[in-house]
Amino acid sequence: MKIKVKLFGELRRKIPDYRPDKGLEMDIPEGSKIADLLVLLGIPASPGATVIMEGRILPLEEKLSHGSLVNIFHVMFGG
Amino acid sequence: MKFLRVDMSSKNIRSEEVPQSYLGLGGRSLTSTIINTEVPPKCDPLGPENKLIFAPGLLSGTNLVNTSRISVGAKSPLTGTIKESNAGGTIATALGHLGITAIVIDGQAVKGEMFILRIDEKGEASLIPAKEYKGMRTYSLVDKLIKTYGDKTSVMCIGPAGEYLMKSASIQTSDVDDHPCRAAARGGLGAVMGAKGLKALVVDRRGKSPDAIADPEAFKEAAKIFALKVKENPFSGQFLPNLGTAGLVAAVNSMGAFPSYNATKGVLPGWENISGENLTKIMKERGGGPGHMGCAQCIIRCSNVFMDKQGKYVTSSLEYETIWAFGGMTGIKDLDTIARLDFLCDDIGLDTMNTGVAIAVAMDAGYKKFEDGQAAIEMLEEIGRGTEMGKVLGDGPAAVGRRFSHLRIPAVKNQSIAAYDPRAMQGNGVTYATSPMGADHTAGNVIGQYMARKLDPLKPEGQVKASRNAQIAMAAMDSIGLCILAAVALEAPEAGAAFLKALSAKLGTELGADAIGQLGIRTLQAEREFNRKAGFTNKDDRLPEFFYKEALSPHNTTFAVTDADLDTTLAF
Ligand code: SF4
Repeated sequence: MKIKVKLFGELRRKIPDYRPDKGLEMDIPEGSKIADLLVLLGIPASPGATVIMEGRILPLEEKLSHGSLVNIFHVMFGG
Repeated sequence: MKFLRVDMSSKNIRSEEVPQSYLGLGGRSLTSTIINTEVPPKCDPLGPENKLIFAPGLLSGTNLVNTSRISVGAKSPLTGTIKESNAGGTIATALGHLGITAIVIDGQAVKGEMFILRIDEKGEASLIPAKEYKGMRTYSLVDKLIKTYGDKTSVMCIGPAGEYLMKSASIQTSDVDDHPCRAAARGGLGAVMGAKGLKALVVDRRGKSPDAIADPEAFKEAAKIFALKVKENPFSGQFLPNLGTAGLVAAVNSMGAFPSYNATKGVLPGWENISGENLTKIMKERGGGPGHMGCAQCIIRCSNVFMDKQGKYVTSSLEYETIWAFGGMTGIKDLDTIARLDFLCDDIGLDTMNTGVAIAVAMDAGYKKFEDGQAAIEMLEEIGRGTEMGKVLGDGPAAVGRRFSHLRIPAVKNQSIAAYDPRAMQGNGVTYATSPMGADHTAGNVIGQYMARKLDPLKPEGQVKASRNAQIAMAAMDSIGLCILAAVALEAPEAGAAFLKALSAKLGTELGADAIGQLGIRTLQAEREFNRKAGFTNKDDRLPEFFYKEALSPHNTTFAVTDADLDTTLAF
């Protein structure tokens, strides 16, 4: 299934030639979870990353579906 | 270990040993304990009975990284409560090197008179008439003071807003580059300084009489481990040096918790323009940039320098909260305008949050249009000139709301909220409501709990506990003098142990694991006791009504923590 991934902050450096305006189009196995996606991207889930979809912070076990727009952030502690 | 007591009425300066009852305290725990003990709770905050206290943290002046924080305390003219306002820069370290635990300013100069309090490299203090500096804005003031007193000088000062006794007046302090861009911003303490007749505190950085460290070897060892852990933590080690706090713009918008257009929306359409990612890009193109060292002893470098299109300095340390107040709340989606507004606040001596929100309330009330950057700049200049409207704006959002009979005022105890909407981050709402300081994100920010998937930000459950823990931790950090951005590293057990060891080695007592929490609790207790004596009750610990009634998009939630639960937050 196809999903779209947007990376923020320093996580962008993980992907060579990442284009912030486009994001990443990815084709991942049906039934993949957020944890699987993070593994694919080489981003450690703990303590590093937070995944937000449609305004909600999602648990790592959450399943993705075709057409999902996934935003991935560092864990932040305030400013 | 000494106090400098300065009486602005008699101009008498007295140096004394730290009294027994204040031993072991520093920073916020010290300012709050002194105020609770020595300031009449019902006094006029702008009268002679109030005290303005400058206290570096317990570890400021040591070699531990990121310990250059200073607490400024007084009864606040904005909130009417006890207040601690925290700033970075270089002055806490300078005071630490002189072995000065606190400067307590008492009394009041004759109206219209202004003084500078200078402390030389031997720690000798003197009051110098400051007629020539009256009315000066902070950048030219600091320039002049450094020319007069030498380039090894740290300054803490007020601008015109403090002299006009405005309730959003900040106390600005010089950063590593001698720009007065760091602020003890909150609570209108600049007005307290202005009322005392003190234009600036000028401290020589060459002091060589720091308090002894009880066990220097153990301290050195622990400090080394702690520094490593700060570097290892992805937030303090990688994220902040590259994006600064502005990196939060994207995340908080994505969570639907970015109060926009005077807190009528939770997402700012077009936030990408003012994101940390865009800010970094612009700064790198123009020179300047992120990764700037704002404060002495800092190894994180969350600060930045913003240049205009011609490569000329505009401002430094353009922070998330400022970008929100002038961008999100007003709908101005242009970093050049926001940077200019940030500079003007620093120069006039204003809290960017209280001022940005005041402007947003004025826009919401129809005084000017949302998104009008030029109007915002003109409003700030009105504050700088002290015009009639400028005085209303300079007193913050509640004053503006009263002026226009406008009810949507995102403030608690007259102090504006920060860049996290309580309807979409309920725990931060608990902090705004219950902090003894009025709405204040630095008093106990819960966002880390949400992003680490430990708590659902939209549900009321668990928020009181999260806010309580954060408030205790912050009160302790503000007392020890550790920058809260370095405090995130304490999550790692090894870092926590090293930090406790460093503190024990400094104080010469083996502190137990709960000592830091106890320091925080003791501080909050003193603060709440003062507020109660000043006439505050639990009923004051509430959010403005609209947060309970107007649902915030996109989640369409209201603030849902009950009053009964709020009242348990700090009921130690
Ligand atoms: S991280 Fe930022 S605020 Fe903290 S000490 Fe460093 S420059 Fe100052």
